[in-house]
Amino acid sequence: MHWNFYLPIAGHSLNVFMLLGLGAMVGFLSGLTGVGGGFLMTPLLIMAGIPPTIAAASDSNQIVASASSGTYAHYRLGNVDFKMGLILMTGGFIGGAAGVRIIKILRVLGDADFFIRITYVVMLTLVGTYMLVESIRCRRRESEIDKTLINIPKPSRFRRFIAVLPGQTHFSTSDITVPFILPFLVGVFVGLLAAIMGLGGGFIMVPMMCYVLQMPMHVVVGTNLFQEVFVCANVTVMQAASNHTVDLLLAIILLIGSSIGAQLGARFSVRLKANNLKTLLACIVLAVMVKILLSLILTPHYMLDFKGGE
Amino acid sequence: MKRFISYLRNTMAGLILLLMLPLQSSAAGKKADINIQPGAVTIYSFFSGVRMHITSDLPPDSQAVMIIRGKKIEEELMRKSHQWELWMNRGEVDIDNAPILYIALSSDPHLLSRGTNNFPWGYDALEKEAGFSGMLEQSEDNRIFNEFIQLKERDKLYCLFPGGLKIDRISSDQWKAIADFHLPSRVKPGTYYVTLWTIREGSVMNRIDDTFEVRRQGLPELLNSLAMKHGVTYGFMAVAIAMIIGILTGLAFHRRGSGH
Repeated sequence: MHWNFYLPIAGHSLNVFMLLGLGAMVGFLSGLTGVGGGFLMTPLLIMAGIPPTIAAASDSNQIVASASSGTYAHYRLGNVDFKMGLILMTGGFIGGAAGVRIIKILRVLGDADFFIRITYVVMLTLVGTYMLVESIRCRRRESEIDKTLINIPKPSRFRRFIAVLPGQTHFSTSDITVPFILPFLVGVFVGLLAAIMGLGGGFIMVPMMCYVLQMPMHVVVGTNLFQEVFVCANVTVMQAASNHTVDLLLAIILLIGSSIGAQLGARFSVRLKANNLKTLLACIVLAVMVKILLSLILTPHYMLDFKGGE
Repeated sequence: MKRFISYLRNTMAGLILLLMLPLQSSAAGKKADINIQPGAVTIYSFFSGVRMHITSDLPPDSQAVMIIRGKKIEEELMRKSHQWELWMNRGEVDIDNAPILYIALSSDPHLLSRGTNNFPWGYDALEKEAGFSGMLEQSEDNRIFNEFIQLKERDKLYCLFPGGLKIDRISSDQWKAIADFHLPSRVKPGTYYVTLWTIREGSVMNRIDDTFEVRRQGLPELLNSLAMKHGVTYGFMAVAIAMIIGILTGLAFHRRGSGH
């Protein structure tokens, strides 16, 4: 018995335990940090021999499962801000539709591939570096607070500007008050980038919720997973209907692993300090950025690729 | 008189046809000389490729080449180029008339070496049959084709086995060619063509052909046809299954957690 399973859409067989392991590993990180894990799982599946278009579409299907599982776990812990999640999601759908149009135009111009990769490198560098610097700063601040027991940080110009905007809304779960247009615009921006980059956008959404909306880290994780369920469900249906690239069997094997991994990750996240979570996420984001950057710089092994290989 | 001549002509034609019949049936009989095991390949849920065993009678003192090929299609490829110090996919290259699968085995390793012969098999023959279009210059055909072969060999869809065709000398006048190879799990459903060339003293003596089928069955066939024919239903089904499994796992973990 080889324990290989034939994937009917991908069109070849892979070891079940390898796929379960991949799912569990990415699911654990998803539950731990709140990102869907698409930016990790898709490259791993491609490395395992799955065609890229099928890897990306099937991955969005398995994220629905890991995000549902993670959302449930965080909901039980009281870490899901449904009101915030719905506003972000609305903005995300509008931004996503705009992003799809931009990509269509770029594909006609023939520069889509370059644009997508560069967007990846720039966004991952910005997000990863900012998160890493912030988490180091927070650690320093914490140690200073321990020494002096004084903690009265002055609100920044951006915070003061946000505070005078109309439509101030209180989000009780997050315990913050911001104008409702702010999470909506965050949703539009992340949706736009997610559509261009072809991902759920968790790794952009999480830092935006953390730093722009100033939501508590544990609520950020649960709320992002909640909105990601719907974003990825939408992508799955669209991909299945138009490109026929969703491999249900592949997704099921991955999601069994990722659902269990997400539960373990969500439990472990409570034990970790928020700063440690931020540092971990920053390191993952920067590692993926380095991998993409290297693929742009180093001479590729194959000078041709089957179409749809991006 | 004219009628008689016409009758005579028809009778002669009939006689010639009757005389040719045994010749034709002997040629058709050669088709049956290729023994393919398994005769039909079934792709099921635990399919991970299949070991193929193909045998055929061979005239004594001869060499042989066996080719297993799939239908010919147009392959769409993207070409990588170096711009602004970065590697990226720029420009499409289409290779027409290339078989979806190509496995070649020879009894003599030299029969499959490239650039040394003009035989109707091997990568050189494939290159001659293929058509190239898209973002490439005419002089680049050979380089592009070599890179295309590298891609196909990576997926194990193109393989050459020089010396991989074994000859069993049963007796002085009865030889048998035996091919054992692994048909990869990436094989697509369809008809596959097996050709055995017999070679003596560097010249092709004979060619016999046969086919075998690759079919998807059970769950893989059900899911594939659902995905291709009812994409929207399939998409909603995929989302519903994902949500149910996700929430059930959540519930299971919650119960286990609360039990502690």
